[in-house]
Amino acid sequence: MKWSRQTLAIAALSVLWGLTALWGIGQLNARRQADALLQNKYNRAFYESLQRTKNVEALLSKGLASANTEQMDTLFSDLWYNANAAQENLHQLPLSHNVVARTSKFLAQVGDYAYSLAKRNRSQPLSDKDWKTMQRLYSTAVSVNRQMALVDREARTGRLRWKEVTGGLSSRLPRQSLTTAADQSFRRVDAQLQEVPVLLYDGPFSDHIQRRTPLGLTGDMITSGQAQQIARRFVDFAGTAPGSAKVVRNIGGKIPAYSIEFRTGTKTADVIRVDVSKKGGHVVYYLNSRSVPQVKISDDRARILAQNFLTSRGIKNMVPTYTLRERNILFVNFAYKQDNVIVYPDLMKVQVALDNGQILGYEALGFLMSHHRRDLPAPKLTMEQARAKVSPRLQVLSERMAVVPTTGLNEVLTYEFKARLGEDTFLVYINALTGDEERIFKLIRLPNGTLTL
Amino acid sequence: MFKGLGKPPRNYVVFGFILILFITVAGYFSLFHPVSPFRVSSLPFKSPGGGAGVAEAQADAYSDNLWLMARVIQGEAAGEPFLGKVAIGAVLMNRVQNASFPNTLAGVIFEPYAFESVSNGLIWQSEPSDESVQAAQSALSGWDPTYGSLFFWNPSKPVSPWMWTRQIVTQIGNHVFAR
Repeated sequence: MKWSRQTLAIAALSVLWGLTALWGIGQLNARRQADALLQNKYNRAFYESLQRTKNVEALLSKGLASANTEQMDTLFSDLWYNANAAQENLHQLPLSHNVVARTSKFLAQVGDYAYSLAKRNRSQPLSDKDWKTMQRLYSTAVSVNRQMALVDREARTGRLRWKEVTGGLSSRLPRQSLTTAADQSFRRVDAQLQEVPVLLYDGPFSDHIQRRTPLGLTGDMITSGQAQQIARRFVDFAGTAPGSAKVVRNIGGKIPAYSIEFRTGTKTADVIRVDVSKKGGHVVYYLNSRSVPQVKISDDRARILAQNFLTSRGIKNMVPTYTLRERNILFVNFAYKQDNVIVYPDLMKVQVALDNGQILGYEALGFLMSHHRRDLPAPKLTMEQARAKVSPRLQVLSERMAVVPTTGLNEVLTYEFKARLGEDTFLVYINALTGDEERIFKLIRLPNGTLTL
Repeated sequence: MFKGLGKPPRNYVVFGFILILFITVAGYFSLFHPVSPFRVSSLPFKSPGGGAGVAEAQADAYSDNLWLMARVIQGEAAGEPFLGKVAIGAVLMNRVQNASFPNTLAGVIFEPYAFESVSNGLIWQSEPSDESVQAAQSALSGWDPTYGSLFFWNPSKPVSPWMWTRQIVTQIGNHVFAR
């Protein structure tokens, strides 16, 4: 039989169509598998979070009922672990931030609070105040769980599906579509936490940390004209003409400030940006973003230049603690020194160009937040007594007194020991009043970093 | 099927086949070509420097964080000034320290919908520049030009109206930063 061209064309197209269909089916299956994988991942996170939140409620109620102090210690660590796991899993769900923010904060604080109690109590009975706080947390946990149970029911009846999966894997952020079914379910959980009690304790998530106000902002309010003058006097222009200053914007937030720019060249990046606080006219930071093509001066010389810079700007009693060299710029960290005690919370950073020694950057946000004149208590331990508290396995290299922040940003007076164990170097902090070992830091050696203790 | 058009010349059929073959092959290779916009990365966790050298032997938590953060900075702020890059890193750090966000850097970065460049895989498609790495270094060492900001967005692009209810702190480059 002789096939006509027409038949040939139809046959060829049929084969092509068949191949396309096969490819399509293959793609569909692959997508279904990917969907299932993602659904399972989300469901795992959801049920894990659900179970952990239930555990938190149960543990809180046990804590209220228990009289056994040793049991309490275990209970607090369990609470810490479960609350953390609940929060971690909650954040793996494809939900908008604003529908989980409060729930997440609640869980983080419960865990953090339990941890601080475990650390502080050391097998002592719970104080009345802590018991009352636990009770409040418990009743909040009960209402969170009641709402979580509703979400669970919706998930079981299939009303709740993770939208991202069913709607296709869109690469666009669903920032606009905040009304997915999952979002709405969780919004109700979060609404339970409208009025969470303020929690104050010694931990990183305690409410006093986010509400902290700057302690180092002294002085009167200044005008934008004064801010420009301050910036002009402060910045190191390395002998070049400063050019015209321009207040580019006002900065809100923790430290309200004027943001000022000096033009150093024609390109958009050729500016020195300076932020000067409105209260007191302190320079919060400045940055000259020019590149440094070569190294002409040593790190030691640069460190001295950084120190001289601070002194010439009227910032006294700062000692360098750590330097890091990166792209021909030396980053020098400084800490404040009061009566021969290093005050670590009062930190400042200075960047020095290693070609001509110009100061390219200065940063004092941490310093302005925490700096104040401290009434340091008289130590109850001598240096020798404190040294005896350091593990005998360590070889002490140097020692001095230091104020260090706790996790909750409270401050303690300590003896600082730089010590070695084998190849590793540690900083050990012994509380100067109680003799407790407050903190241990292990020094991680970076190829271009130097500790200058 | 072709009645109205008459018989199709053989050339058309052959040409059609070749065209389809070409598109298929080109499409397939474009997925794996290193500079293709459609590239699928089969191995997202490539080592930063390539071969296992001395630098990698020193890998520790610090450098892992540095590398991850530099990638997000590159993905979110490749065209921004240095300060704008540090600012992205600072937002990541501020989120880690905030109770409403995950407590780890990886948790913050991989939170669904948190960062567009993570959602669409952009962060795996190019190596971070030296500037991004340096910005990450500055942010990790505690430099925060955003005064504690938790959010940032490009005001010229559409974002959720909810975002605009946050308190705007400052603007750096093309991004506004808010608490």
